[in-house]
Amino acid sequence: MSEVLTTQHLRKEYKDTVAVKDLSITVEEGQIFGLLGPNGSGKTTTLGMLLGVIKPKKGTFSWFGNGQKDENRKNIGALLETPNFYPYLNAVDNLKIVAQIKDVTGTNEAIERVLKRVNLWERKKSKFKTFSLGMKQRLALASCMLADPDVLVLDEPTNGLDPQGIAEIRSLIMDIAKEGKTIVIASHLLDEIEKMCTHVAIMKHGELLQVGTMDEIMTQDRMLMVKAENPSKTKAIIENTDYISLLDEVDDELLIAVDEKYSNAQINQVFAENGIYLSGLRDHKKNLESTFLEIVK
Amino acid sequence: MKKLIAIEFAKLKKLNALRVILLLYFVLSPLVVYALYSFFNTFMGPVIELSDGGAKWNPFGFPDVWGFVTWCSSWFNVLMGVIVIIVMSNEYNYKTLKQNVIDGMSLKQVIAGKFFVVFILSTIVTLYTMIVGLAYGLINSETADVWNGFVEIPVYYLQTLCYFSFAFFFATVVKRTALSIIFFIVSFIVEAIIGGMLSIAKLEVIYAFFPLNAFSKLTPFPILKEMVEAAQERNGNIPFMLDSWVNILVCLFYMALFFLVSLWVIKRRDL
Repeated sequence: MSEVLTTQHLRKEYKDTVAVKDLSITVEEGQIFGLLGPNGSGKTTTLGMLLGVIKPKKGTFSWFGNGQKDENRKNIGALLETPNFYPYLNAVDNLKIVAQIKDVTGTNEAIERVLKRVNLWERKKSKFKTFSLGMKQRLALASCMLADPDVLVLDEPTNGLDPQGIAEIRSLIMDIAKEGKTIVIASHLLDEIEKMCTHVAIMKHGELLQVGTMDEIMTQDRMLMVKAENPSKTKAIIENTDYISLLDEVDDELLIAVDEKYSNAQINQVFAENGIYLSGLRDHKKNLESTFLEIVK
Repeated sequence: MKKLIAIEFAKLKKLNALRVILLLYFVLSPLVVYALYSFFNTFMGPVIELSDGGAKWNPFGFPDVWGFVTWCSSWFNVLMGVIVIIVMSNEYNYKTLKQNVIDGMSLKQVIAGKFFVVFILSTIVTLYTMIVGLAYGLINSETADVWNGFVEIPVYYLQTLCYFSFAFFFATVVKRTALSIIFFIVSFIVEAIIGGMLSIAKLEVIYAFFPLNAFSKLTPFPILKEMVEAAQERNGNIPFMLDSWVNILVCLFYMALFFLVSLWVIKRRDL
């Protein structure tokens, strides 16, 4: 598989804040690459640099092995943060502008194709400002697909949508992914990323913490749910034990990550030796959310 | 270039603010010219009698009509400057400048597209002013000496570009439409106040080099020079006016400065 995107030591600073710190990643053809991280982790800044709207302080990146040429972006369909269109123009007129920028041939047919695909054909003559948020997101996806690009870059494509809207957008993205396109997607919705992505990069405070296939990322320490009478003392024991870490509190239970070398009995023993007798200890089925919490803890 | 103009046209053809302001301009401009002519004719006969080489000043006949219509039309430059601000700041407000770059335009193309809009708008306004002048001139002149005094038209073109560069500068730096318009309009008032203070301090020569004052002097009131000379004869006090060519150079300098600073600001900051 050929490399679609490579970044090397990409860095962005805002006054005294480092938004992205020496980011080096590679995305290959056909991958669905999830960019994860809490708010302020540098996901949008990273995508902004890759899309030419934020100037990196240091480092380089290259699309399609072709450097940072503006022309590269014509082969990328991108939605960064919010759908950005002219509110006084209708869907078709807005897409015509995109088509002109991207040198799309057969503009009218292409617009009809993408509007039908996102179920906006019936509203083709409606002004953008009259659209609901879900419709705006769908129009943005239509715009992304207009030039039939090899790569889609989507930043929080389901932001602000209701569950039905999220399901619609997710289903659209899944359909696009089936066509073999490379997708780079940043999202808070870990469930969504887990369902869609083949590869994941996890960022925090602008730093890349983990990158790899979904399987590689998920093969971290195993996780347990523990329950005890004295949660504060239990937490203190966790803090003082190298191979145990607290990930989350779920009701009256604590979700912990433990080094794979240690059995449940040994974990139980650690607590007992410190005066805590667990009333509950069970394996926790790992998902991306718990893995993510473990990595960014 | 053709593609950039086509993209800009697609963006602007349904912009209501542009339609309304242009319509206002097209309707009001010839009416204002006529109203001012009537006003001078009715109430300022003695002023009109101030003659240029013995010939009566005829604002609707060649060659005086060129100076008169460009002076009248220059009043609308503030309104047209508002269009420039709206066109540019909309791109920031809607984040479409950013989206255009994401979609594959280079920053150079985005900026060039906006410069084309400014130049085309200036051209439209100038051509319309020329048509108005030509119409009034042909109707009210005994001879069709069209080219006599026609130099006022290219000078007026320069003036519109100068005002638009100033408006473009505010839109680029401030980014917000309403704030940019307020700053744009207030700057005229502020400069006039400073000019007044400088005049009191007998420093008119400095005020002559101020941008908006220099721009306005490109199309001065047609018989201003004669009026000033008459005033000088009466009390020896003459307001300072730069030589026309010096004034044009000053205006060219400011226009280049405003465009270049805008360009620098756009290139320097993140979208």
